Amino acid sequence: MAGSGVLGFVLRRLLSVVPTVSAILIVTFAMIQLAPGDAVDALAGAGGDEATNDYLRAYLQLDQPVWRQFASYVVNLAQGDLGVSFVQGGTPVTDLILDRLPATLLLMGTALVLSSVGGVLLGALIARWPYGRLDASVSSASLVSDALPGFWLAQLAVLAFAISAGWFPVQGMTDAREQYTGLAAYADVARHLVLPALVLATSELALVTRVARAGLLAERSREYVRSARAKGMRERRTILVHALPNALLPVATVVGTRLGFLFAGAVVIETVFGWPGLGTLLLTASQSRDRPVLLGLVLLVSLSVVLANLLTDLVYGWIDPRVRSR
Amino acid sequence: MSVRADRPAPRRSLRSRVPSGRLLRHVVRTPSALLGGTLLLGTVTLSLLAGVLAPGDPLAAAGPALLPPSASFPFGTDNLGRDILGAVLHGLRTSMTIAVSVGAMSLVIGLFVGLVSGYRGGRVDNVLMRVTEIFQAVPLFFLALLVVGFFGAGVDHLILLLGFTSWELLARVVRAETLTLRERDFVDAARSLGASDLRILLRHLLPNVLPTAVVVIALVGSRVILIEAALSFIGLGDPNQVSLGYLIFNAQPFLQVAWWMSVFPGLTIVVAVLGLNLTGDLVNQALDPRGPSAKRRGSAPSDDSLNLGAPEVETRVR
Repeated sequence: MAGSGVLGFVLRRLLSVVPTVSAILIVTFAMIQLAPGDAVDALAGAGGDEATNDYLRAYLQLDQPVWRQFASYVVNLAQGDLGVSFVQGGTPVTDLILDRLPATLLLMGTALVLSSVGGVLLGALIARWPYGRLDASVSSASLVSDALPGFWLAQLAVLAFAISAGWFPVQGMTDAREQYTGLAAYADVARHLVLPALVLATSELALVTRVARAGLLAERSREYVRSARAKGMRERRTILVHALPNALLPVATVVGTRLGFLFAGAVVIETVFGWPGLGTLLLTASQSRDRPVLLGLVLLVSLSVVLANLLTDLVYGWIDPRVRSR
Repeated sequence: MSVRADRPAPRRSLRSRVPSGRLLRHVVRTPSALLGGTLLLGTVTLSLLAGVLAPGDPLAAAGPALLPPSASFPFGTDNLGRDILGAVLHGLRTSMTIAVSVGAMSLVIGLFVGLVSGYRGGRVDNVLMRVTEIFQAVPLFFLALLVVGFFGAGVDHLILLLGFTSWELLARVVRAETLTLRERDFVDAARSLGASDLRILLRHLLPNVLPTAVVVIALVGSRVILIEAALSFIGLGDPNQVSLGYLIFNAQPFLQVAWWMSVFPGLTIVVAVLGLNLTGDLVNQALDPRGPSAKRRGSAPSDDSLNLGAPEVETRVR
C-alpha cells in the first residue's frame, strides 16, 4: 500500500484511524436515532401541539432522510458544533465543555506528571534491588490499588486529610470566602489541587511502576548494561544513564494510551471534590438526562483517545526507527 | 479406526492444562492465592445468601438514622435509617450478578472471535482484529454512560452493553493461543483424518484455550464491577437495585458525620475485585509452563506469565 520510509509510516498510521473514527461517529449517531424520544420531545415537552412539533422537526431537519441527517451530523461535528444543551437554556454544548475543560486538563496534567515521574522513580528503585522486600511490598500495594475505585479512594482521602486532619480543603478549586490575587491565587488553587491530583495519580502509579520495572529489568540483562558495569560504572549510574532511557519507551506508550482511563478517572473523582471540571458537568448532565451534553463529552473523550493513540504511535516511530518498518 | 484418532489429543502434550491436584497444591502453598480464593468464595457465598442474611427490602428503614456501627447494626445505618450491612449484601449481589452475566457473554463472544480469528487467519482474522481494535479505542465507561443516558438506567441495559463490549481482551488472548495450537501435530492429525473445521475447533482447540479464557474472564469480571460502581456513583445506576456505587454516592453529603456510610460499601468493592484479580493471577500462575514452583522462588507476583500485553489487562475504570 503506502510506501516505506517515514512518510509511508505516517500515512499508514493516519489511515488506520479512519475505521475507528467512522465507527465512533456511526455508533453515536445510531444511538441518537434509536433512543426513545427525540429532540423535539425534549424541547417541547409532553404538552406540545402537533403543529409546533412538526415545525420544530422541520427546523431541526429531523424530517430529512437518515443519510442526510448523518451527513449534517458529521459536518456539524467537524465545525465543532455539538448542538445545544436541552437543559441549560440552549447554551451551545461546545461552550459548556470549553468552559470546564481547563480545570479538568489541569487536574489530569498534574496527575499524569505525578504518576509518570513517581512511577518511573519507583520502578528504578525496584529495579535496583529486584525481588526484594521493596519489590514485594510495592507489587502487593499495586494489587490493592488496582482494586480501589477512584471515587472511593477520593472519599477516604477527604475523610482522612481534609476532614480529620484538616490539612486540605474539602471541596472546590478556590476558596469562596477569600479574594486572592496574584501568587496567592495560584497557591490557593494548588492547595485545592493536591488531594484530587494525588488520588488520580495513585490509580495510574501502579501501572507506570510495573511497566518501568519490567522494562528496566529487561534492559538490565542486556549486553550494553553489562559492559557499562564491566568498565566499573556504579550500579545506580548504570541504571539511570544507560538502562532508563531505553526502558522509558514502553512507559511513554502506556502513558499515551491511558488517556481514556485518565479521563474516566478524573471525571468521577472530580465529583467527589466538587472540582469544577467536566466531571461536574457530566454529573449534572446525566442526572437531568441532558443528551447533547452527554454526547458531546463522550465524543470529546473518544476522539481524543484516538488522537492520543495516534500521537503516541507517531512519537514512538520518531524515537525508535525500528517501529516504522512494521 | 479413524474415529479413534479423532478424539481430543492427549492433553499431556499441551502446555495449557491445569491438573487439579497441582492447582490445589498451588493454592494452599501460595498465601496470595489462598487469600484470593477465600475472598472470591466469600463474596460469592455472601451475595448468594443476601436474601437470607438480610431479608426484606434493603431500601426500607430499619432503625434510627445515622447510627454508628454497633452490635445490632454492624455497619451502622444511613441517613434514612437503613441497615448498611443489608444494603451492602444486596449491592454485592447486584455487582456479582452483573459480573457473572457479562463474564458469560464475553466468554461466548470472545471465544468465538478468538478461535475463528486464530484458526482461520487471513482476511477473517484481519477484519475481526480491526473490529476488536475499535472496541479498544472507545473507553467503555463513556460508552456505558452514553447508553444509560440515552436508553435509561437499568441492570439489563448495562449487562447487554458491557457483555457486547468487554470481549476484546479475551478474543485477542484466545486468538494468540489458537495461533500456536493450530500448528500442533494433533490438529494436523485430526485434519488429515477428515475432521471438519467445526469439530477441530470445538473438540480440539476449545478445551485447550478454556483455562486461559477463565483467567481473562476473572479480569473482565473485576473490570465490570468497577465500571458499574462508577456509573452508579455518578447517579446512572439502576434506581430499583441497591448497588455499592450508589451507596457510596449516597454517603457523599454525609462524609463529615457518618464515615461508615462510605467505608463499608467501598471495602466490599475492594474485596470483591481483589478476590477476582488474585484468583485470576493464581490460575495464571498455575498455567505457567514453568510450573507454579518456578514462580515461588521469591519472585514478585507481578510477573505476568500470560502474555496479555501489559497495558490492556489493566482494569478500565478505577
